[in-house]
Amino acid sequence: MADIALKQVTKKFKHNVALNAVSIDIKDKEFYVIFGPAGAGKTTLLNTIAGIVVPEEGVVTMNGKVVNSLEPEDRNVAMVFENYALYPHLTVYDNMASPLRSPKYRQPESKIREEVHRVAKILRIDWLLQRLPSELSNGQRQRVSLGRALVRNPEVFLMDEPLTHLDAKLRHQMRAEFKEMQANLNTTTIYVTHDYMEALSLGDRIAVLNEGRIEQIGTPDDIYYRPATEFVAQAFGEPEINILTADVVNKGGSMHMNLLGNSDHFPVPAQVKGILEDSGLNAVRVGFRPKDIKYSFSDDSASSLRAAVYSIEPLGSKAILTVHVDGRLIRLIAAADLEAKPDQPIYLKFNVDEAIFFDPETKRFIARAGKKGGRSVG
Amino acid sequence: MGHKNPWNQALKNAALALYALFALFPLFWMLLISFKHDREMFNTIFVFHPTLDNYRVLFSSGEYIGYFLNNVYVSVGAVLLSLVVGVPAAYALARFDFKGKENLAFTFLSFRFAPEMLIILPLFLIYQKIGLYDTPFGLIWVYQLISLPFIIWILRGYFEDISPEIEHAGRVDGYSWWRVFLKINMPLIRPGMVAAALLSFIFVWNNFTFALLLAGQDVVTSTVASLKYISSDTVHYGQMAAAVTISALPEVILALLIQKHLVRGLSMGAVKG
Amino acid sequence: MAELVLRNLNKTYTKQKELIHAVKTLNLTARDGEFIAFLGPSGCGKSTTLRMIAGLEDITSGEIEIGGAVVNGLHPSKRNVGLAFENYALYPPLTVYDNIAFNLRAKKMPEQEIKREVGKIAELLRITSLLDMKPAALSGGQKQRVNIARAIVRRPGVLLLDEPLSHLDGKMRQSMRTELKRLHTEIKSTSIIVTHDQSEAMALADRIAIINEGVLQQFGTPLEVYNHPVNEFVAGFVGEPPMNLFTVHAYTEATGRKMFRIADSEIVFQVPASYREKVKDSQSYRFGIRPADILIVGESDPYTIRTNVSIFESLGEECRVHIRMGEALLSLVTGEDVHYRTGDPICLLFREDRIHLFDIQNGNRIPSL
Repeated sequence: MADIALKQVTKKFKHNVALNAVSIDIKDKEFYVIFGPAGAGKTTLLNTIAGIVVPEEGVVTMNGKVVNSLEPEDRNVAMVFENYALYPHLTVYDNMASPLRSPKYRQPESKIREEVHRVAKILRIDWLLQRLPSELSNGQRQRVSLGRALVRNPEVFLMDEPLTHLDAKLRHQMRAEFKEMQANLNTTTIYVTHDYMEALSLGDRIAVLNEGRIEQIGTPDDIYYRPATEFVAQAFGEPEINILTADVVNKGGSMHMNLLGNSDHFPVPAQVKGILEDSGLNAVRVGFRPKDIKYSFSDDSASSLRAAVYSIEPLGSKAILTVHVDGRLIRLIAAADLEAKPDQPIYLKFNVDEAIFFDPETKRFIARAGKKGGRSVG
Repeated sequence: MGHKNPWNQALKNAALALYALFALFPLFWMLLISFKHDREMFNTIFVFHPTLDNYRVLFSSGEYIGYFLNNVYVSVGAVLLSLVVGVPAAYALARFDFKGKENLAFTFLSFRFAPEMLIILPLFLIYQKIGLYDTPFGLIWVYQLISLPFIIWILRGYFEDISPEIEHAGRVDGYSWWRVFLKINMPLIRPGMVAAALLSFIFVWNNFTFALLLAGQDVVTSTVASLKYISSDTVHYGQMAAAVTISALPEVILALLIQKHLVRGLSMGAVKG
Repeated sequence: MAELVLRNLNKTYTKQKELIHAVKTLNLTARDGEFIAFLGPSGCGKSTTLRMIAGLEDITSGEIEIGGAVVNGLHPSKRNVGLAFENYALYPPLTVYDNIAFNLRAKKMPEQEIKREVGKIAELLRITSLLDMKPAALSGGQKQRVNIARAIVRRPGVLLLDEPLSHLDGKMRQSMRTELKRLHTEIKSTSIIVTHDQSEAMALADRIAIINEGVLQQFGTPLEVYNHPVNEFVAGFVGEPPMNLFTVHAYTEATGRKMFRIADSEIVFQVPASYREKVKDSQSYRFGIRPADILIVGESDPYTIRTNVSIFESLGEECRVHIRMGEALLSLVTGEDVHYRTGDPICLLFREDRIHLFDIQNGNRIPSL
């Protein structure tokens, strides 16, 4: 039960700056997700909170108290490591009992037995208690690692990519079970992942980390519908959002975008127009999610853009259609049984009402017309 | 790719058997001689009357036991000191990053490259000066040149195989750094420690050069003691062989023990994959 | 570009005194120009099969034909195959150009011709700008493309790819996948890819050979294996999110309606029309339905089951609803405009034409009427 805060924390390793002036504020009992690609600094961030790593600059506080110089064993945090970090020479039971036998968090053996069995039952590993880690599958090891954390009653749970090394099927299942468990956790939890689905599903709030810097902090809706930067927009969603550069043209009273060589087809939504005018920009970056682009094989609408089929990747319930136009590739979602010849002409319709607008210089979010995900503009 | 040619296999086995014979014969011969009387020494190899006289002389004189024990003290002492110094050194090399780390590590290893003869003269003079000549501690100290590199090199590998995450897990669980080292690291490197210690023991036990030139009066190890069987008039091959056989016994037993420990790997099933 | 035929292919070997039958009587034909995927969990025998085709492993019994000629016993270099294997590394001291040209030079092709061929392939794979660089300077995706270029430049009869995308991260993987698909439409070489990632196999292959424990389970187009899996293994392996598979017990109500009861739960629903004749009372079956084929309907609409939401996930462009039934979790996927809390009532309709029933003993599909 604790608030955790990092203020301007910087951590350098020999060859790189792992964390660069990172500031985050985590509220008591929040399920806080830290999202980022490999190498972004997520594990370093978690290690800083755990006390395994000491930052060069900045302050780490727990419940308002500065803990920079506090040793890990004194911080009362429980951690689930990416590679599980089970003690190879101890049984599953002893692994899970280990924190409750330490000088800091010691409990009587009878209590230990009770706790270990309780948690083992919830995680469905109670039949494995006498095994050694080397005798377990990956999924089972992951659960033991989780169990070792759950027997504790810490200030905060730290979880470093707990689902990453599981196969796809197991990951889906465990993610749903995690969500189920969330409700009963009742403790501040910080969860690190590079899988955007885990982030969107599990987080109360998400902090997006890229190369040691925070790109955005917000609720899942904020992150998905109002990404602060192009990086955030591209990181969340599969297939990736298509971001195109467009010139802004004022025609009469209305504003249009000259997109991929076509100007009349793309009116700027009214809600966005005002903001663009105020900004004085004459070029803008527009992001279209694959599902917001429709296609047809006949030129049946005035506002269609002509492109050519590049490739079709069927995935069972849908297909990913890649087209090329004006020297670049655009991805859209298509029907599962779509068939087409390579380079066949195809006509695209873009849903500008759901488009996300970015500043071409800073790559930062400007506006979005759609009402999904709560507030609309800015 | 399965060329299961039986001729190939037979040929290979024959070659190996031949080599084994070649390598083991001196030991076999030594054993044989130890049961031969001096007067039968120059007979053909296998025809003789076996006798235990050589061994009897060895033990009755009483001196030999002393030499044997000296060797024990010095060897065990050397290995123990190497462990006390080497384990932390190996840990530091495995975990920490500092300037000149690899140079330092290589320097340790290089002690084993240099022939002992290279340094024996200066060492002799230094030992005389500082009064370490002919003392057990003097030998224990110089034996570090033999036993320390092994221990550091092997244990560094074992420490590197232990993921740092496991130590972090111990800290987060509530154990101080020192407790983590004792309760987690030490059990995990135990096979390596045993193997390295046994190997080092064998090498220092066998040492002849240092024992001869940096000791020799008060502190006589069993290796050096075998020289005593070269008297002015003759060489008592039989007794020498007996002495050397007894001296070799501990190592043979330990070498057989090492086998079991070296073959056992560290089962790092605790880390993913 | 040649046809590949595997006839009664078997591979056995001994490991620690045990006889392992890695590939069991595999029969398969890849047509000229077809892109085939060998798909299966690790250890299923797919890589072993590929290596036998390449000539890197002995064949225990059976035949491999490339372009009509039996290649058993032929050295890899004589089989007319191109290998792009994950650990078949590029030669570090040679430039990209030299790496690709290596095989052609070994064949004593004249330099002028080599230059032309390499240039063509480089353009196809968009690595022309990399030709003078050394492998160490390349990114993962670039190395992969050079690897493939090196395999294709010899115009092999069959192109063999062993998990070419497994070491690439998410974004790079997606774009390389698209490029590989496009490449195949342009060069049309008979290609075999080995992967454990079902979306990779689905996206790239004309036909997929699903292998489990050395046995070929099904060989069909992506849509065939997705829509008409022949057994429970294929049904559960292909498709993401994975198909819901659970045990049901059949019984007849007093009213004469044939019903299924989901094991370890109270949930019951009517047996779909297409299976009513086939299903016998007191029998258990394995029931399968894909998350995308479960629809959320209103209370007044016809529905299959009525229950409560256990878990709700909002994932950006889609949402997942999960209902706990005993040990299993029933999952469904839906568009983004819904929102549920744990415990909310919900009515679900299973699309009748998308239901799969499997035999509980052998896992085989029970055909509907």
